[in-house]
Amino acid sequence: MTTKPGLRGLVSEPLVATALVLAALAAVFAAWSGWSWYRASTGGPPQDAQLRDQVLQAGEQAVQNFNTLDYRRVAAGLALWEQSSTGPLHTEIRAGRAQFERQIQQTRTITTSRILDGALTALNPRAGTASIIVAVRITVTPAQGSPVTKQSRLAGTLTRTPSGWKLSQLGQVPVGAAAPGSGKGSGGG
Amino acid sequence: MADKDVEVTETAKETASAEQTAAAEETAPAEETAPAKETAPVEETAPVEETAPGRRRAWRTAAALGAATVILGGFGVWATLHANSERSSAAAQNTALTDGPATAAVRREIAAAINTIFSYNYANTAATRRAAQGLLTGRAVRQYDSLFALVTKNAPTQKLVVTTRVTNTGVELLDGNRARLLVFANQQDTRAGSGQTSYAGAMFAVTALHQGGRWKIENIDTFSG
Repeated sequence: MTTKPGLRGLVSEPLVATALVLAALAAVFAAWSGWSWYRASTGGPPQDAQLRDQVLQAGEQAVQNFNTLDYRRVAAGLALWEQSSTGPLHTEIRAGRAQFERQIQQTRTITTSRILDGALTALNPRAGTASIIVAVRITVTPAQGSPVTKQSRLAGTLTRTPSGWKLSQLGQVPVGAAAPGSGKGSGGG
Repeated sequence: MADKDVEVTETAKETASAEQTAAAEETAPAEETAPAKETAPVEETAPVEETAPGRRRAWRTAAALGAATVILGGFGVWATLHANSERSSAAAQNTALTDGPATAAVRREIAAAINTIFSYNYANTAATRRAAQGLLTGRAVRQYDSLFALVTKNAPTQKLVVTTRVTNTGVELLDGNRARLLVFANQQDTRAGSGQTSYAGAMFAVTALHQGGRWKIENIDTFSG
């Protein structure tokens, strides 16, 4: 063995040269696609979008919880109310809990609800607050008589807590001449 | 003892031959193929030309590069598919709230459109109808026509003045020129004859399309189904 073919000699082989070009192209493609994948998975907007969907889902679930109560399982139902709330709403529920429990057991009603639609009207990831509106169909079944169904327009505030986003305010949107300011505001053009 | 010896030697022969054949089977092909190329040709042809080891190295290198190409290419395809699926995921494509100005624009325009199409005066229902023309598209045109046929029929006899004010709007979906909003509105009905006024609240989901430079109502879902 006098000489071993050197690197240059090796590359001058058409087969090796072709393979090398193909491998180089594959490397470029892999680098480019890896980068674009990295950008797609860590970019800003999709993260905000995910947060929005997550907060909306948490809000809708909390609203559903607040419109579900069975007199036969009041304690469990009210515990869920407490779990789904924080801030002022939480304080309100704790304060009125005993009275509420008595009331429900007297009227013996079963309340169920279905979320028809919901949307966030504001989201502030940094402050950890969001506003939500929810269209909900509530069915109240009394001890005697047939169930009564009504549609309800609810607006609430969500606040981030260590254990997820929870409702800190929830109320019916008033019907009538109320809130002229917001009417004008959204009326715009 | 002798008998046993014989037996032993016989079995020894048997095993020996077995080993031989086994070994022969194992080694023979190897000797014929691989080592033949490795050793024999080198000695015989190397002095003439160094093609054989060169070829072998070339093939090996080409095979390694080929493998690298397959691996890199595979990764590239995989990463591209992932990047695309992440970009086109429902959450990422929906720019509701994540695109502040666009979200504000669709809220403002749809609220104004709702206020316009659902506000009318019995004395001039045609004005509302005219204004609605440019704010509706697709299915909503027919929905509104059948609804407004009742209005033009009943409003004059009841001397009805209806004012609709949107109170809340939330954008659920905003994907390019398509949007879906949840809308709460208050309606004030006044009967000019008696001066009687009543209030009602409404809620509906609006599908909107961006056409000709503005957002138009494409469908109204009143959740009655």
